[in-house]
Amino acid sequence: MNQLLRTCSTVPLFLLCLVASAQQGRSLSIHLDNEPFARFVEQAESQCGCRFYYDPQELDSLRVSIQVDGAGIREALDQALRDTPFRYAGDSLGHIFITRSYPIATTLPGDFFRYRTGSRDSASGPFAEAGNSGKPARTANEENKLYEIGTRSNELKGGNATLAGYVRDIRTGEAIAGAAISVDQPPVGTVTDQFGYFSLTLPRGRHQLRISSIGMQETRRQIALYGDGKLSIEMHDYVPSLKAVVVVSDRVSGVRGVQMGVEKINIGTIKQIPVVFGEADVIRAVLTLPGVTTVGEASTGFNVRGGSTDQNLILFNDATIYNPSHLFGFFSSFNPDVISDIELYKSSIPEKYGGRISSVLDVTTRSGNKKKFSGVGGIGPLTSKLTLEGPLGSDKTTFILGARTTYSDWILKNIKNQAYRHSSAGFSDLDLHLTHEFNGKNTLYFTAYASNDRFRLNSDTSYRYVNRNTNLKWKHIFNNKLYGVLLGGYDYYRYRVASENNGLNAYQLSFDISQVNLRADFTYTPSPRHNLDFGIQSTLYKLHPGSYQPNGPQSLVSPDVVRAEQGLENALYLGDRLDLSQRFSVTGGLRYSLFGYLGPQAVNRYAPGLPRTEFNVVDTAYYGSGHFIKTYQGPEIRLSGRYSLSGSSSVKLSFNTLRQYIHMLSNTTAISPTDIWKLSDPNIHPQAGQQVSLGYYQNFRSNSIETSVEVYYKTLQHYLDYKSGAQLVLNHHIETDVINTSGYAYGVELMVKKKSGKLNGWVSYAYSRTLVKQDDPIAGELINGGKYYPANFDKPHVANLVGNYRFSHRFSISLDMTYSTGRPITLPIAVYYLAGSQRLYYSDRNQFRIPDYFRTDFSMNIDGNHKVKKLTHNAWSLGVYNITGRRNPYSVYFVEENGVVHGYKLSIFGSAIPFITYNFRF
Amino acid sequence: MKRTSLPLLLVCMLSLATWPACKQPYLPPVTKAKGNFLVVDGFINGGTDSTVFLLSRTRNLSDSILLQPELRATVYVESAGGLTYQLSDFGNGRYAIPRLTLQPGETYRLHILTAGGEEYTSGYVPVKAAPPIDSLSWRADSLGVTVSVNTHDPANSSRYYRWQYDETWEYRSSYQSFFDWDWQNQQLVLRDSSNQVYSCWRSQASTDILLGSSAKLSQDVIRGYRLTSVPRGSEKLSYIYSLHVRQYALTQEAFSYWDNLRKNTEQRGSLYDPQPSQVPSNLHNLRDSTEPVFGFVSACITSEARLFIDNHNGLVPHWGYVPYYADYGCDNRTIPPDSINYFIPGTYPPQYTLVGTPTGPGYIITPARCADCRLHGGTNQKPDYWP
Repeated sequence: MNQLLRTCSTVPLFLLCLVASAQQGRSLSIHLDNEPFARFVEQAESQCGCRFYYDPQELDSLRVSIQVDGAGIREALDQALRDTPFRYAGDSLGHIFITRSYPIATTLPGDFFRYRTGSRDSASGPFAEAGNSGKPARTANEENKLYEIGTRSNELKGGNATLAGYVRDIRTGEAIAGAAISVDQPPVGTVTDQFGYFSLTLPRGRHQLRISSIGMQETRRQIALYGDGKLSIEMHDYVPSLKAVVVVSDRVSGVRGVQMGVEKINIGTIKQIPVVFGEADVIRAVLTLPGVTTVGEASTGFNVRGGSTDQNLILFNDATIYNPSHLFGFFSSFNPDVISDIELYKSSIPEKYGGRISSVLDVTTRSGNKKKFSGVGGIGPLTSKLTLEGPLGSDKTTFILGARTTYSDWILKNIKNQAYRHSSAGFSDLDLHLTHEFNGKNTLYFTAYASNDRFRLNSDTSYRYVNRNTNLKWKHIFNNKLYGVLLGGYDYYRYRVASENNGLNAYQLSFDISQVNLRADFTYTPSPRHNLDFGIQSTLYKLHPGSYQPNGPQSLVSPDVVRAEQGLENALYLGDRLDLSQRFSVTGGLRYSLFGYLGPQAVNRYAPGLPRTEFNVVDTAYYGSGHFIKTYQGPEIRLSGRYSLSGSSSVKLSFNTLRQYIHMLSNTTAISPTDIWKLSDPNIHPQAGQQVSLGYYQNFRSNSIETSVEVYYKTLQHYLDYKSGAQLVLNHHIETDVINTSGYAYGVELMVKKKSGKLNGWVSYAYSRTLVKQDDPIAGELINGGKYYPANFDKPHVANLVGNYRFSHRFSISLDMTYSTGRPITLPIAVYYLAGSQRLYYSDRNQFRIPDYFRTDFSMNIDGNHKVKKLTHNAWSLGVYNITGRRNPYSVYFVEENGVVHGYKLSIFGSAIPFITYNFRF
Repeated sequence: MKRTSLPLLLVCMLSLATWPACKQPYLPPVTKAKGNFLVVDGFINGGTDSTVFLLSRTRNLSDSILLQPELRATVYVESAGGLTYQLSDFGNGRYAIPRLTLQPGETYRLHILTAGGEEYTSGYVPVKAAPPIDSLSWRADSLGVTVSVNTHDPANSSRYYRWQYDETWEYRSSYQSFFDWDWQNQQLVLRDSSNQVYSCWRSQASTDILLGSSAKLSQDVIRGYRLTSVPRGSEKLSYIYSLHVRQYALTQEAFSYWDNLRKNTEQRGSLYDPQPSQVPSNLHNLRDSTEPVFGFVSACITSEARLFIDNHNGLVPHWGYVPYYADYGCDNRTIPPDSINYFIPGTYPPQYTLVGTPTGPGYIITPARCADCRLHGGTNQKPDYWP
């Protein structure tokens, strides 16, 4: 029977489970009027001492009307199941099994009692006792058995108890982050953290937990909550071939969650999106979401709701990635094989995050297979990758190690055009993630990431940049209501430009930024209505803004080093999610951040009210090491509220303020590898942003279709722009070349998402505007005379379609369509003759637009057969990027050629680009 | 994927302004500036040459005229000490004055009164003397010949340099014509050096803004700054090639003006272009300082140098020059004596050119474009500096 039930729950075909009998003797009195079957079961179980077994999904819709007094269980069941397709049966141990049979039986068959005698062991199996907080948690993998949490007592005490535990993948033992755990009555829920851990406080008594996560099969757990305790839940992969399975991917959270503007995509979905060169790409997936735009294809920088590219906090297992791109942005820094999912916060940003004012992109890796050693790999036209994972020693320690590299050089060498033979480009990256579980209360997580990029484009100048990140997290569970994570980490980014050819002028230019992070984050769940997050975070930044050194013995270059700068950012935060009523929830968070610009440093003081130029320097102050030269501080408010209109619709409102103490200096429209960063200092204010947004969420077709409308209005201050002809590299007084800009952005975002079924995907449309102006009174000359003008990434209309159709579990096709208004550009309005050639006079900035962008990509994913005993499992992905071959302009530019100016439209991809990649798993 | 398509797609991907598949001509929407603004091209020459300024106006992109000269203006060079030198109007926007003797340590400015009554001045600028050019060097590689300049300033005071050059090259026609037909006198005349049509010279001025700086070096040295490249097979090195270079020393402000202009007009089309921007000129309208004015006035004593590359003996092996007349079908024919007036009438340009006389009666002629090098755009007057 156990085995049969397991089959029922793992593969819930419309199976007919068998029927047995009920325990005799006790009389029942039940009075129900059109109530869920579960209510009937509850009442019957409490009176007859019997246990019901059934597939709750099947009986979800069954409503029971029954009036019995002093009747036997059979009579009650007869009445309850009358006119339904369900049958019942019971055994001598008081187990009652409710099942369904075809065709619908209008009357019960005559001999429906079948007595079975099972061994005591098997009979008591379903009554497995889950440990209380002191004992190790037992693994639950069945939906229909009752887990008793806490020490069993005959009478239920009133009040609440807290249930905590991990949600894991049954196949690999990996933690599942972001899984939603909810209870219908009272309607409370929670979401697992990045470690797959959850804590839920509920009234004592019987509950049904619903657990859902993207790409996993929704599951349920029956619990009897007597006291605080633990429950580990294992989830099954969503098995796509079986018709009866409905994929549920936290599908109610859009409506139920309090947060707004959160988009979560798991790696399965990311891998379905066709991309150039066939390598699944996190950032490309982000770009398909409403409210996210980019200036062009050769940029992995992205803009969220009118924010600039440096206003996104990109976290890779809590490590800050400063340059998320490889090879001119055609690849993102993240190896898709180690990633579990990504989350983008674009509206209500949890108070836990700070330091950037537009968005947080949280990229989470997998923790590695706990059960066996395995690997995945892939071979593509430009890249190859291999990832290994498995337990180390025991299942207490797991590792995942991923590596990627390119071999694009051979292609460059084969190009007929002479110019490209002197070019080279390549990258590699390496990931290592370790998890060690000391015991149920203490777990250690280690992350290390390294990437290397190099390129040389038909010149003697070579470019290299590296990311280095590492961190160690210790998670300690104090008790079911409180746990904390302590993090120590180090992030580093560096680039080097070197010229070798001309001995005299050979130089090496380098820039680097590093940060040391220390954080303690706590989550406390005192009652089912409260969920508190609080913590303290500290980041020490150290920058070498530029070093120019001779390269080689002949070089006459005089070393020029811009003074290193340091800053310390501290933050305290406290946030609470409060359920005021069943329908109304609010989260309120406050983050107080304090930034200190530290010595040793020399700081120029400028004459007040005069344009900030070298000539207006009043004096230069020198500060000693560790001296707090200037501190900026302020509160950041994160508020959001949700009001449920019905079970499937809600309205949300949020208000956020954010501060940012670090600025990227770049006067190119795309992110370029040679962009540098700058800390706020006495002359450069921190950036600030405020956003208010309102959304309406409605789900259809039993939550399988999600729709949402969000509107927002956002203001930004102290964003840096540059004077004409500004020198950003090796500038010892950068404040004389930058201008404060303020701006505002507004927009509406529409999204329809279907996450389940053979056909899944989303359609989104966003109308958004971003306007900025230079209103710095001490800037001197102002762009566009200080009037508002569209930002570089202002693209009013953006529409995306991401669709996937699964013909069978081995074959699916994906289609991706993108349309957007062309980005603004500055066009020449007049031409003149000077110094032997035509020259151009440009209009006010960004007054024109390049032609609109439209692209369609198509891919087919073919899996090899799924026989379990195979050396490797193979999968092919082939497709065409930009299938229409449209030459989408990346930029429009004018250039002087032999004395005459010509206008050109530059497209990154001039034709349809086919790709094929081979992926394997073992 | 076919192997051949891979390079193509990657080139496209890495296209930096050279790949036709990804670079298409673009016609901007019709735009109009609010007015035509003054453009001042030239510099105050403290050397032996004349000071020449070309004044013009900006024009709309859609206008077909190439240059709209600013006519009938009054132009002065003024010193801070009050000396004034007026430039003569040579017409067509050209204003010039022969050799100015500028005082070292004095500063000068340009002062313009337009016919429209507007008054413009530049800022006062110092006279910068360029150090002598140490050498012009050239190097041949698989792509062609590259000419570079070398200079240094022992006083370490120049730091910012600008160069302009004129290229001149000699090329030759297919046939050498020793005789000409004197139509008026109906007789053969021997061609002398003034009306020979076998060797011609063409000249071309630099169009790029060539800037170099030693500001980041410990010594004021420019070595191997690339001035120009002559691609392999070019006519410029078919015979003798000459490059004349003028070197200017600039102030830092002038350097940043030209550098910005260069970035805005010459260094475009990469993946990471900076925003187009306008660096203000050092000229402004006295009545309205916000009116855009283009050009930057400097005062400079230039230094000059000339380089010859004599390639007629194949100094650069395998140059690969294909003569311009290669597909003209240059064959000669003998015509009877009485046809000469038909084939070579006294009008220019002629259809045919007389190249010689056969052993018998008649004349040998060839299509004029095969023998008269002037028809290819050059002059047959040998420059006086030519070897």
